[in-house]
Amino acid sequence: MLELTDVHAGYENRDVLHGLSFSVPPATIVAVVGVNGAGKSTILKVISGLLKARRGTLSVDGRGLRGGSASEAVRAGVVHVPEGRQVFPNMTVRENLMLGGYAIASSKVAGRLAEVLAIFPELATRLAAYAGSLSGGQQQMLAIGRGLMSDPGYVLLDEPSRGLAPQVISRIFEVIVSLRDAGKGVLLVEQNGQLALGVAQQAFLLESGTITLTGTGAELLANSEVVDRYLGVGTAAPDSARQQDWTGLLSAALAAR
Amino acid sequence: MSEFGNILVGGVITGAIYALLAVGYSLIFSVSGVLNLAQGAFVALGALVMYSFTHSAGLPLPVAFIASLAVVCAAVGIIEWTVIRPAVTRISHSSLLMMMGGLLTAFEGAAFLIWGSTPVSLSPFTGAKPIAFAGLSIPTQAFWVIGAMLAAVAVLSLVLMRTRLGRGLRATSENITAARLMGVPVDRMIMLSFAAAALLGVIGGAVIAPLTSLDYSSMASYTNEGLIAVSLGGLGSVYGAAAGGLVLGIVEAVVSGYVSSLFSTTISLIILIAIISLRPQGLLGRVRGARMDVAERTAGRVYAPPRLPRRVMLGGSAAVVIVMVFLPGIIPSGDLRAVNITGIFCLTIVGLDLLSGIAGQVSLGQAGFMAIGGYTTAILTTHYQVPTLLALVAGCAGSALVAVVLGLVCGRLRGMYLAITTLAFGILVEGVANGLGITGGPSGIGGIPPLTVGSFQFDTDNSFFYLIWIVVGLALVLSANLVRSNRGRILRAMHGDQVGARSLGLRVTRAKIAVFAISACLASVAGSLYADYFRYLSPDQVGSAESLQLITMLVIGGMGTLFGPLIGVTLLTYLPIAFQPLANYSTLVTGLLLVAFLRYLPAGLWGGVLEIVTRGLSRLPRGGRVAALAGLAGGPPAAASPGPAPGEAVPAPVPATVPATVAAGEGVPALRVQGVSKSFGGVAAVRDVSFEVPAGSLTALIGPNGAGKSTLFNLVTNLYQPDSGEVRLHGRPLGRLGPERITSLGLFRTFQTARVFPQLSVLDNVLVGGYRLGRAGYLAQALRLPRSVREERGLEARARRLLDIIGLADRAEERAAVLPLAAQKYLELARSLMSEPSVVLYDEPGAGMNDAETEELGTILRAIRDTGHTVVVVEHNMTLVMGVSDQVVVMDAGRVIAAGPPQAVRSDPQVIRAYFGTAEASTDA
Repeated sequence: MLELTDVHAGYENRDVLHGLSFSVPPATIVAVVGVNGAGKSTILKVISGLLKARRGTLSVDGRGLRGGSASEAVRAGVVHVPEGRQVFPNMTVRENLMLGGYAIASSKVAGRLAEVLAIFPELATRLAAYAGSLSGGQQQMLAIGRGLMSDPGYVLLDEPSRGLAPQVISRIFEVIVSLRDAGKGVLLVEQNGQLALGVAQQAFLLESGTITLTGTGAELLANSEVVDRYLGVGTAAPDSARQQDWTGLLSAALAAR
Repeated sequence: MSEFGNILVGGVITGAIYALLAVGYSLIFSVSGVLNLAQGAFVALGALVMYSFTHSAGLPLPVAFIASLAVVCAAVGIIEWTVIRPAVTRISHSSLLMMMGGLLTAFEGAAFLIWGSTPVSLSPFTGAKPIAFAGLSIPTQAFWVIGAMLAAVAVLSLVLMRTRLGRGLRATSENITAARLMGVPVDRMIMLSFAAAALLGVIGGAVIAPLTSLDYSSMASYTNEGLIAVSLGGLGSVYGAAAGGLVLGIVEAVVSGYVSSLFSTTISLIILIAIISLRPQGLLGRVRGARMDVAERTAGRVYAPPRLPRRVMLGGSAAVVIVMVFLPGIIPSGDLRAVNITGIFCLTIVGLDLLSGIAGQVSLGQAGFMAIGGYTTAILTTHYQVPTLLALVAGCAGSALVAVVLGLVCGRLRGMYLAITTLAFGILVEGVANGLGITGGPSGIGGIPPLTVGSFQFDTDNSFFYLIWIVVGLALVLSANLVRSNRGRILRAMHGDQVGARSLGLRVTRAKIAVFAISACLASVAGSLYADYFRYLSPDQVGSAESLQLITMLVIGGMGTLFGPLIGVTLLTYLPIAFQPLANYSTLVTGLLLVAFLRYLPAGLWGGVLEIVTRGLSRLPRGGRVAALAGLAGGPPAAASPGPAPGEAVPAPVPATVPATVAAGEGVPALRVQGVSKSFGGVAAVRDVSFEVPAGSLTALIGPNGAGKSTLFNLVTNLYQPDSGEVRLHGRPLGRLGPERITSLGLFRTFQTARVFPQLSVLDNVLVGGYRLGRAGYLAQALRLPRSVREERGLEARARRLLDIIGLADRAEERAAVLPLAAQKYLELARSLMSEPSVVLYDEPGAGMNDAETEELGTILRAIRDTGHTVVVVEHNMTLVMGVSDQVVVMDAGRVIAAGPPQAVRSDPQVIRAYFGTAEASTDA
């Protein structure tokens, strides 16, 4: 179990998370939804040690983490696959994957590499290519694969579907579900709320750094307020009155010189 | 023949030392992206410590070596831990470079205090008797030098390329955050790279000391030679560094053997400048594989000082002016001379602040421009009886010319190269001043007449006081005007993100050259006045050490504040006078001050004051930050906007801006892509792509990742040149026009990652987009001519209206960095409309937005289309694509596989197979 208790965190003189408590059990997908700026990515940064919590505790399988150290988190079995992939562009795919295994014994690396390539056979043929030359979808697979190299118990995913084509998204989500089935706890931050809530056993709504609603993925999907504010009605068909407002305002603004 | 052979041997030995230095540079650069200007100090320090252990303590050589290694590594380790490590992620690259310069100075000062200025030398390891071979005389020490170099190169390249440690080191340089997430202890990596560099330094110092003698002043010269060598070979490449060192050593030896030692530095600097302009990655460097459209990493944050409210600033300035007017009457007349010297340096530093503080370009050779101005005045007035004012103008013109040439050489390159080039330039000027007859050599030129304007001679301290300070005041006011104007905004924008600035169609190279020339002119005028005032000029008054002093003044005062550096100049001019008995400590203190300020108060003294004052002034509640965005994502736009209320007569959605180019002809597509292909290294990324975008339509470009959509955008905007085919904008072929030119034709694009300028205000970010509409030039804006002011007001009104629409009007003055991602994306949309484009290309405008936000985005995109723009989006969100577009173009594996109305494309079996896969099918159900 990955547990956060009363976590406060922020940047400079600005608090972003205000006393957050929740847990990610093994073999469970926990989804976080909320507007941009609510603090979703900040949660992941606190757990993975990129950001030190100002207050509160973090524990993995009962053992407390000091926090603020990424290598401590990796060693405790928590990996963070960051937003925007962040592969090492001038290093090869193989080197990227090997780096994912930086924290584990070198005798285990070869075995892990084989297991990760079994999850993402797409990468097996591109091992010698520079990561910067991969397509967005392959880079996302590399980013996740790289995270899995250390055989973590918990995986934190920050917007894995961002900028990906539909068929790649479905591939990535297949993997996410299979990770859960393999017993890993997954904390999923995702703008594509329909998709995330669709696979999540647990979910919560984050607003201004506080959890305002919790439930199963299906419950949140059925909540009309959540749908209205975060998920949308699923069409971008023009609402003509609103459209006219926008157009009018815009043409007035553009005329200003 | 044997003469040539012996010269060659000498060259190889020197070259091996340069190579050792260059390898050290390369190592630190490839791990932390820092040019370690203290690398030369490591070498000299190694030799000096070895000397103490062998000669003073009488230790045997191997023991002394180990002991020296321990001492130097400990010193470097402490510095890394206390100063460098915290700075690497906190301050910008340019500040970090300055910090390393400060470390070099501090090392020099410390070495001077400990070892004095008597050069020391070690005895050769294996006897003084050289080996004679085929007419050559090779000292046995040479084998030690070359062996050490080869061993260092071999070990380092093996470790870097073949080991886990090496991977960790490289990963740290590529992406420090991602490396951390892998569990790579990045702090230890940076520490290790410095320890290894210190080791290389001690080895270098130990093996070279028997062949030459060293003292504290060797530090700077080794630093310079190493820097030149590594730039020749290629930053970040171990083999390249070694090759660069050898080439440099041999060239210098041959030139000084056959021509003159004066020209040896000159030639090597000319070679350096040639290499930088022709092959910026160096002899053996590899062009990094990063894509142009992917954000370039800026290591630390770029600091932008806060601004005082206008009223406070005007009041303060008035007070300063009044004090200055009466100053000559208040202070003892003997002190006026120091005040005048301060004024001369203040003039230089205003220019340096424009260049480094505002535009983020580090110049390590600014005193070189003072030298050009000073020597032009000195030579023209004493040898040719040219009037002083004319000589000043001539110097200024000469400096501007040199700046333009240097700027052209490294204009397209990033900050580090300007630093390297200016460093080389400063050394070159100093060398020439010392070596030529006409400059009087090291003893300088005397008998320079005072400045004469009309019949008035500025020959008293009092008259010169008013002259220099009025000039400084003018320079300040004009610079301040410039910085806040359209032209100045581009300077601030390119600070930290040159690629981003260029991608907006901003003429970055031109702006960089312009600001460099302006700063050179100011320095040159200061140099001329210096010569006129002192009636005497010698090389050490304007040497390369002075350039670092200028940087220290800048940093202590507060970079980017224009006024602050004046405080820095004053302090550094008066401290040595006040603490005369401690003169020996001045170098050490200067270096330490520079380092300490960058570490603890990067804002500088004045920046710190500004922070405190503005924080005190703005204790106002900051209207709910989430509320603004909630308005943006939820309610109708009118609710978030004090613009025309919904009830009022809404202006008809007529095209508000129909650029002339649109009128080219009815029925001509806004954008026509015809048979465009592009391969990278034999892999076809885009193959024979053709499609048309009708004027006033909204076209979506979709396809799997890697299908070539972004590449196509890059081809359309000429970031890449197509291998074949052509792109026409309103019927006009775009050919090989540069990205800047294309923007000015009305084509504007955004990038996948939101690319706002974090340190600029939200308002400035939008205004940057309107850069090309500004007609007023630098001079008009510096003088605030009425047309320039009018133009600025017009642009600002437009920008504020656009901000109003996207709900960010009340956050216009905040730094863009604090905005959440979706707001940054909207900011980019607003910015794109500022330049009155006819066609806009948006690359994944919806990425990172949630579904509700995406719906709103769809409405905005249609509004943009309905106001007369042709819109092309690359987008993966099918709800958005299907809901808003008039035409959908589908790409797969570099080809267009379908094009047409959304519904038709949607049901195309080929598209379903290639693109939608199962995910879409399931959400459909």
